[in-house]
Amino acid sequence: MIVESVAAGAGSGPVPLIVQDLLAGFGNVLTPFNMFLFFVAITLGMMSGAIPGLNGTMTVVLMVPITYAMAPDSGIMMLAVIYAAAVYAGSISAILFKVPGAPEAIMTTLDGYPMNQNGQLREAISTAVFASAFGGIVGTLILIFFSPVLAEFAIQLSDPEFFAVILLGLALVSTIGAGNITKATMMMCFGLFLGVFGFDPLTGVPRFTFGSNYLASGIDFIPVILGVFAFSEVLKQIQSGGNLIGGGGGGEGGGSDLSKATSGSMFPPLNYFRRFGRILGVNSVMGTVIGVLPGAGATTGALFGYTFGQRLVPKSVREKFGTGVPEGVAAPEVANNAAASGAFVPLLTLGIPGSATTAVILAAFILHGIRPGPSLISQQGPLVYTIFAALLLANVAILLMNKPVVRLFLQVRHIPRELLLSLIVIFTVVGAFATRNIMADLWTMFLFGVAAYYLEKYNYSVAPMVIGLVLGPLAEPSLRRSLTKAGGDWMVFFQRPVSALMITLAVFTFFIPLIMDSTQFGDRIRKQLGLTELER
Amino acid sequence: MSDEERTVETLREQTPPSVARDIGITVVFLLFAATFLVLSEQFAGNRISQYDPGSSLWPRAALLVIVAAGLLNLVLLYQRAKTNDESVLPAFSSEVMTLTGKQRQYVLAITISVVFFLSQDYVGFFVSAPIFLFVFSYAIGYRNLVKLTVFSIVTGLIVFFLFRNVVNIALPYGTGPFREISIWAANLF
Repeated sequence: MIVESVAAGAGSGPVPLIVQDLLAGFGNVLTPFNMFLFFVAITLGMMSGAIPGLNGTMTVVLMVPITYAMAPDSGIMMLAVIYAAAVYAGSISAILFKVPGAPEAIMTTLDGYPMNQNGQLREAISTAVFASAFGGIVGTLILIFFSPVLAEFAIQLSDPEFFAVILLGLALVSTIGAGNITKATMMMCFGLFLGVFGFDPLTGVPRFTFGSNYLASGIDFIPVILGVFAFSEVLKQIQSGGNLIGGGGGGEGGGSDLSKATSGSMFPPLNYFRRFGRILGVNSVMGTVIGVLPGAGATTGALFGYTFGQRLVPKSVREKFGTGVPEGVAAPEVANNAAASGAFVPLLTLGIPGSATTAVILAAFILHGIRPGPSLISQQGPLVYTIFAALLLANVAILLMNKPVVRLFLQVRHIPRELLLSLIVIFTVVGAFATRNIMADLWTMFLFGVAAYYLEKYNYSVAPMVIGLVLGPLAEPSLRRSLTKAGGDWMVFFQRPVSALMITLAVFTFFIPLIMDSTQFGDRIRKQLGLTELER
Repeated sequence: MSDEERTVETLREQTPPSVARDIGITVVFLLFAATFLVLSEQFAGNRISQYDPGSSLWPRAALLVIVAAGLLNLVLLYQRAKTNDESVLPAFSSEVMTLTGKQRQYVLAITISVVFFLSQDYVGFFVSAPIFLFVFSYAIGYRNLVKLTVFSIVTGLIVFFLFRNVVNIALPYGTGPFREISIWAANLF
């Protein structure tokens, strides 16, 4: 049932009219049936985000047929809420077990899990939840107030801009690999190369397939992620005899930090806000803009968010990224949730899905006989503002439901370590298999898990490889289409203002830190060379 | 873990990673990149138009950067080894041949995982998952057999039914009688 007080043609109206429509949207969400659906969606979203093998896209796909029996506003609202909740919940298992529950949580493992290991579980989870909710709310507000402007911006972007943005993301690897830039660059390019296996995106010719059907379908990044993060961690824990959950957990009883995690505030400690205040502001806007780019989605948002976050903090904190700093949790979480909201901009205003999940939601719109596009907001105002209101409420609900959800997940601390490790292997197996139902994905997961275990021992960070694997398949077609359209002229990237700006930024982003930190960089090189101050 | 093992473990943790193995890893990357650079030659002519740089541009660019970064890394590592007076060859010593308790568990865990993955095509998930959970947990140190049996069976069943019957993901059924058992179990609900 739709509350009919929504002003007709409100989409192009002034701000008070938008607020009025939004209030009507809230009224619609708060009807008993829609509230029931809302809580079902939040629960399903959190479950699918937190359990490896399930993800938001899969759950949305499974729920689409069910929405057919509902009114469009109820059905599509439910799908949107599942998406928002799943993006958040991936961080829970990433922090607790180093198993990203969803691809969007890849970067959260880098600092979230070390925080847990350092006995800061409560801080890690509350930071992730708050950042997720903040990013989601800002992203949704931008969606509500600036959709037409962002859509205008998105429609003007073409392949050169898209490639330039991805290049900027790749250039940021110089920050992630600050500990050893040569190894980080090698790993990133290895990830880029892994992305080329399979059919050429433009010509359709198979590349490096060696007659294998598996390689023809390409190397999927989900088995790789599960291998390098989860399976390698299981091997590490077996070798070290450590606990998955820090602060005394992961076995009998649990420690003091765990009891704080279940009884403490849902907000991060106050002093943290000073530390990542800038990250919240910048990454929520940046994440939304990344989400607006068709094909980018929340995972790309998280990759950018983490690396941008490193740029926004003092050098002393930047150097600690990857060792368990709250900034490293807040940065990707705020960006991925903002990007999830941003992905709705091209969907609602242009009818172009911004991510895999919004592509499924587009299918749900069409199933209900609604074609998203420039006139959607004016013609289907009540429906659109119901989705907006539901997204806002979903992010508030994430914050409120954090404590019971985390309390539920923390029950695993009563599970003996050995059983927990075997359970993680089972979930990585199911997760690797579930995406494409291909047995060879299990071997991919296994090989990358074992390899990552040894690579990390020798300071070959796997995060740049994952970034390369995710961004590579997006970059290549953009690059080649740009050059094809420009008649092979490489200057196309500098003739368009946005792409020129992005490429310039990419170059500066890669080299400036090295130059700015020249003393430190030099020191690092000298340290690697083993030269003393005297020899200098 | 015995005191002796604990001491060995602690000493191992304090030992910095071997430069020789580090060099070995970089060399593997270099060989990988060189091999695929040669192989990429065959795709040079694949293009959608005369202006398309072709199928080989992107992989080659990535591989060339791997080669450049790898060579630079080799120089840095060699310098480090030389300056620290680290001998390259002794790093491949017999250290790894002496397995501590944890290392034995590590090798067992990998072996059991491999057997579990291999069994999927023949035995299927429904039958192999409880066995895997039991054997893996036992191998890495869990000894309460009653709890382990209950955990293995219940968890295996829950995971199978959650993914097969609730979210409709067809986990491997196996072949022959195992397939029949899996289908029978899936049809229970």
